Amino acid sequence: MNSRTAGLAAAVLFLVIGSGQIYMSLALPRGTLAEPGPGVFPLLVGALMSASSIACLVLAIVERTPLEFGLLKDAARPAVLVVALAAFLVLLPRVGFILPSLLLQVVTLQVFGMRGVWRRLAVAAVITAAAVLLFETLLGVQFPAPTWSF
Amino acid sequence: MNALDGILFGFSVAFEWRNLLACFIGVLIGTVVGVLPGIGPVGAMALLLPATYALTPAGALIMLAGIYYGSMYGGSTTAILLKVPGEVSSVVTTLDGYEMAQRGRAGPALFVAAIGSFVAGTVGVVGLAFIGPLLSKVALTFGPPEYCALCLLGLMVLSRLTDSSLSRAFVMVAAGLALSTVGMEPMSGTSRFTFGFLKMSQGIDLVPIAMGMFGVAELLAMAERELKTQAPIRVRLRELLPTKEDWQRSWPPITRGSIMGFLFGLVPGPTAMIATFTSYALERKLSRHPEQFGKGAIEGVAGPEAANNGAAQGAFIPLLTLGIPFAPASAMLLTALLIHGVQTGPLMMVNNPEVFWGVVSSMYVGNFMLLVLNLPLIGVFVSLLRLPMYLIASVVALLCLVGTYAISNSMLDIWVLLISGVAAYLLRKLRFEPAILVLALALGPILERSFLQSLYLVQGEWMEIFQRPITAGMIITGLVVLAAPALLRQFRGSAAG
Repeated sequence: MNSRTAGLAAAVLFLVIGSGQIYMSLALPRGTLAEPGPGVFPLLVGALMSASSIACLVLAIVERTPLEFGLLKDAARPAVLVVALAAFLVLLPRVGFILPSLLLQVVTLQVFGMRGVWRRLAVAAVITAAAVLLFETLLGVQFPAPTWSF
Repeated sequence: MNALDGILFGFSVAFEWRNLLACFIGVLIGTVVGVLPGIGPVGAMALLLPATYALTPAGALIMLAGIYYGSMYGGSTTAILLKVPGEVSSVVTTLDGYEMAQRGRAGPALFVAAIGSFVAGTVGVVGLAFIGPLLSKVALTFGPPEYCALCLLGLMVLSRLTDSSLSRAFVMVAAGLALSTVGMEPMSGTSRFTFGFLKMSQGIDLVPIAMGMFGVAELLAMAERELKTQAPIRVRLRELLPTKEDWQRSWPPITRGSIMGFLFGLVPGPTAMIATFTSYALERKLSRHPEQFGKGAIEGVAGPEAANNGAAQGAFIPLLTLGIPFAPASAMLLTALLIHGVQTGPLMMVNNPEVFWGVVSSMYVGNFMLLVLNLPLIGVFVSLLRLPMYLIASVVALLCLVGTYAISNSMLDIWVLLISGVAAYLLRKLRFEPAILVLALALGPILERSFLQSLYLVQGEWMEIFQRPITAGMIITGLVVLAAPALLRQFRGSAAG
């Protein structure tokens, strides 16, 4: 995806969101100018977003200057990190804190260049233990109870 | 209570041992956050919000404020020693600070940066103490139309002060305002845009969004850049002292930078960064040796470093006197005040004097602590830079997730954190500025409430809103700011033609 296409896609996405906001606001009572209802402000915000998105769309078509960063340049590492963070969120309510934390730590350490599987596992275990001690024991944070049983 | 009594009362609050400890922890964390890449002051403030529940409102604000201005000190250390600005407001310091370090003069650069920040902090405290009460008195005359206009002015100025084009900035403003409309409408209590999530009827919290956009997004950017651990230049204590000539060349820029930074801080937007660039340009213009700028001129460190700290202190004024946040860090402080049940606005000084004056005086105490921390202990902070990047990143990732979850034990919050982090990472690539969204989200509820109240007040005769002098003045100022670049182009075009 080149920068111009990305700019166009972003403008269209915001236009859709703005139009969606207008559509949903119209379903809310708007009242009168003297007694405005809950739909008035979101309607104005939706209109602002739609109008600004259209301006962005025009600029994306006309503008020739490249973006500062390539959109998908070296995106593999951030993508792996996003998957690891999402996996943490999916697993946390199912298996509790320790396993997702270990998994997240191992992946993050690898993404940021730590070498050696056993070293990664050891560091991940230490960080997880420290997090349990700090958050669960000292600060009393209650992590979700696991719903999966082994 | 006059300013002097207020400051003295504030010191009695700031010197309570719990508040003194809160201040120390705040500035210490702020310095570490400023030195290390990754989480940033706003993310760190969000992360430590749950830890403030055990503190008094004054203690909570003292600690969180300490993180903010402490990060300004820490940011300059990496800028001078590594040419890596810990904070965006330290970018300018890399120009001459790093050059000085390369010529074996890292010590004087660090010393002047610390002294400049301290002087600016002092100017900021005095400014806060004297301007704050005056502004509060003026703000007491404000009705809903004035607050509505003030929010609009803030958003308009902010749209012009960032790197984004105006249309992109407005998209971000609208996105932030749109997020703020989720949940109960302020006047009727009608539930909106909750999509069946009960928790969303309370609105979208600022903290997960801010943590995502400043913490997770930065983590993703770091993963892409593959930052490597760098060995910083060693600085010994005896090498810190500047020469007599250094002092003579540094004082005027420090004085100018402190005052200019403080005034910039009163304006919405990333003013700390803008103040540093303006100070650098001014010092270069005024210098007898402009050719030395960029090659290790001490004025190029002294002025901008004073300016960024002055702006950080000035940014507290709109929050403490009007209850309106003009910067993401102020938005986090507003969240903390609301969590602690403190009514923000011009009456805060009357109803919660310990919070207002305690915070003002604690800044002076905090700046003194920072001076002590950042000069003799500079080696300790510099050694943090030897930590491997993978260790910093993995701890930051876990802190973002668990810290956000811990605020209200909500899984929805950490999903919001992840989604906003990924969104901000992509938005930055497309030259949309997520900081605008965060600020619009914080201002949204104030803007909507004051807008609706204004319409009720004038019974729908909306032109009456613009006939009020303060409202009209603010709206006209905002429009002038928006139109200024086009007007300037037109003016230059006709002058050239």
